[in-house]
Amino acid sequence: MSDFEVLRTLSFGQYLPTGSILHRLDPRVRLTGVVLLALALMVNPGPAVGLLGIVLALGLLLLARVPLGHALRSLRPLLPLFAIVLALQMLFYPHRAALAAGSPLVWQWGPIVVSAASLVGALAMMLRMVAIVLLLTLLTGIADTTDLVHAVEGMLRPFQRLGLPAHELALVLAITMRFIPLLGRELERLMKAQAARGADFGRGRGNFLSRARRMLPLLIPLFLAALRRAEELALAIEARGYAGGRGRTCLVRLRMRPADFLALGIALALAALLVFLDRGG
Amino acid sequence: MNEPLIRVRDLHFSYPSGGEGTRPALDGVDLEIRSGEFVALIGPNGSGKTTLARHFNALLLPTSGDVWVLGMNTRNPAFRQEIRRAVAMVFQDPDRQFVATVVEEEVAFGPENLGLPEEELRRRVDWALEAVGLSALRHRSPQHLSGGQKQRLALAGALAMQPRCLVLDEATAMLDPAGRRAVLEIVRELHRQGMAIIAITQNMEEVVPAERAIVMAEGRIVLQGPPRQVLLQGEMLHRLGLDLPLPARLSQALHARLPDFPDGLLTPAEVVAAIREYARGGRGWSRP
Amino acid sequence: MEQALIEVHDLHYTYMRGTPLETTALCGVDFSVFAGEIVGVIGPTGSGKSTLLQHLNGLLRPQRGTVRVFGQDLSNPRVDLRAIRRRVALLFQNPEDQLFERYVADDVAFGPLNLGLPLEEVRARVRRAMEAAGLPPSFENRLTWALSAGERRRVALAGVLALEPEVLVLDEPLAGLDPRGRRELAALLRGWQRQERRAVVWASHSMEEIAGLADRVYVLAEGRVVLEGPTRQVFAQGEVLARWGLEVPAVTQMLVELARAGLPVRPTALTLEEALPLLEEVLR
Repeated sequence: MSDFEVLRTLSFGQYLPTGSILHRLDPRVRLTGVVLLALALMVNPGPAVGLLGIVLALGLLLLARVPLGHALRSLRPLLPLFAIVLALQMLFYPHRAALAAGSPLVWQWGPIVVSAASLVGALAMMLRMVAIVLLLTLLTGIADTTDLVHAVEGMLRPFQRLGLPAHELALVLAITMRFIPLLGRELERLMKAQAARGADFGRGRGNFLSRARRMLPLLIPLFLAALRRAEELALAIEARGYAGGRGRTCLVRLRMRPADFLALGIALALAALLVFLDRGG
Repeated sequence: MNEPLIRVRDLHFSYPSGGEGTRPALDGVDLEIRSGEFVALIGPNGSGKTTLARHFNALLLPTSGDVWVLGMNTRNPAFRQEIRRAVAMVFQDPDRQFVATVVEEEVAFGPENLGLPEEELRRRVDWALEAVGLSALRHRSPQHLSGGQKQRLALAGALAMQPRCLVLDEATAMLDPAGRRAVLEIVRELHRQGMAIIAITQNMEEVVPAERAIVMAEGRIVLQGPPRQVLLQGEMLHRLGLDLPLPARLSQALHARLPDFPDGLLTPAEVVAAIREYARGGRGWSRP
Repeated sequence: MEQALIEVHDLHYTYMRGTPLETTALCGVDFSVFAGEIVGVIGPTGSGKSTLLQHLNGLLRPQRGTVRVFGQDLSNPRVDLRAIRRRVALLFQNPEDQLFERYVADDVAFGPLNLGLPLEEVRARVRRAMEAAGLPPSFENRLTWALSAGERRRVALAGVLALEPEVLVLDEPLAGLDPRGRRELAALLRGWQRQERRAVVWASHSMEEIAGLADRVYVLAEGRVVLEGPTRQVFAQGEVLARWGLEVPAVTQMLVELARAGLPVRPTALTLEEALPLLEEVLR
């Protein structure tokens, strides 16, 4: 791919229409189920949770017929993050207290000590991160933009009676998701136009900071482009009689089927399992 | 039923962002559009065409003067949705008017706003998609359509409102010839079925099939009438930076050299016919 | 045999290759540009015109096939692309959306500054480029954001002309302008080309536009060159063009119809000016 094409891949994850049973669930259940599991993973710091989470995620990915290679590739951006996590753990963990409690010493250099407990903690965190990313890959694999917008709108709609602008929020979400690749392409065009006049955006040219600085002249036209699009879209929406969510009907009506309730129940149970398993670091 | 579809009286409009001394965008416009009429609105950039059109569906409100749609004054917020149901608009840039991620939901957006029941939504969506020839693509994402298909989708979205009037704001400007032809064909059919069409265009060829041409400059209507009449005001149009359609230019040029050759032909077919006729007559014809 | 400034051979390009979203834009395109000529590239939207143009200054690297610019093979990663872009300058579609400097002169100067030219030379180039783009010197200190779209387009054009390229590549330069705007910009571009005697590549989906301009024309459809040759020759192939959804200029169409009706006209005229004497002859 050319230097510029990376931006084209800014689509919302990679949707894979494999037609699995997970795909056929109500989009609200798909969204809620995955989010529940991810939240459960975040809540429980126990070391075994990460491992169980990964097993669960892989199992679900299998069920969704998402190719394993694709799922594992999504972990690649995590690697630098792992290094940071490890470093932070090593720096801020209460090593001496752990050593006093009986945790073996792993490494010592002058006044700095590193206990085994800190490494275990770092490992636990990394496992949980892997599990969460796998779950996100699962979610984007089984639900495309349309599904997610329907899910959000469907879940917010009951609150409309209480004054929540459910449809407006869902519309904002839908438009944002649509605009991200559009603006990505716009940015690509701007970069190319400037490169055509001698600017240099190549990878490996200078450190991150200087490359970031070179992107600054792009921000203004990009911002203007985004504003212009927003303005025109607002006009188009108004021209078609949009007056907020009240009184609006919907072509696509979501209905929960027994299978959906079952799946939701299973997700809740699994989430509960994750939350209460082996609490305590 | 004498009430015009759209009535504009002494319309003045200035954009709020224009500072002191900037010319108003609309400087006193009076206009009536009748039911089922096909009007072409032309003029150089900045003449106020788009600004005027946006008053027809209450996207803009007059700074002074009034605009009525089916007898409803656009200033009255209670009429707004009804007005926007009656006057539907298709914009120039296909990418900048889509809301949904699926074709059929995009078409449904307008009727959904009107609070129509599900069966009616389904019926309108099916009908509108059929009318523009996109039924087969109903589950596609709008992003993956070609330019011409996107504009047809926009048309379907407008049609689903079952409007009395369709406003096309340079809707074909960004399309290639094939896309343009497809859109214009649909528009002509709609007009045949009784819909009023207001076409803003820079393409003079698109003016020819209209019943009335309105020329704007500097916020005012400077000329209007049947296309045949308007398009022959070559000097004025040229001064405004507008071209005549090619057949008119050609017949005008030939008429200048051969005074017997008819002036003011508008379509290629007319020119070809006239040339054939003239050549036939000319073969045995001797000049005095 | 004159050496081509740009030579493209069997060019293939697929966007997002290897992902489920891949689209092939070019499949085996041959293309060349010689000194001093105007080359038209015609094709419907999606035919690959922009993709081809972006290879000519190295914004895209060929995935298969070769692109040689001034003798250098652009597949070679060691080619100095900035030096190429000094000699082959590309003006994108709707370039008025790409201005980013506050003042006109600063934006026009972006290119020459990137070339590392001394300040005096940069100033001189800005002045010359603005003149060539029809912008009076008073525009130098105008705010870019306060200009009309047409004026901004000229600023963008000046920004590219300031590179003083040997080949000017234009991607639908007249798109979105009103008739007067189109006439004026076309005249400016022709004027520049005639005066500087540089090569110009002009892409458009309007045959009408290219008719009076280009010496040679390539017709692109679905990523391939379907017709190529001197403008007149290519435009005479109405049926082939129609198959790809392209229309010959209205004038040419009329002449074709007249010829079919038995009148002694050769449908070689591409513009009104060319057609008039032909028609006059027939009618007298």
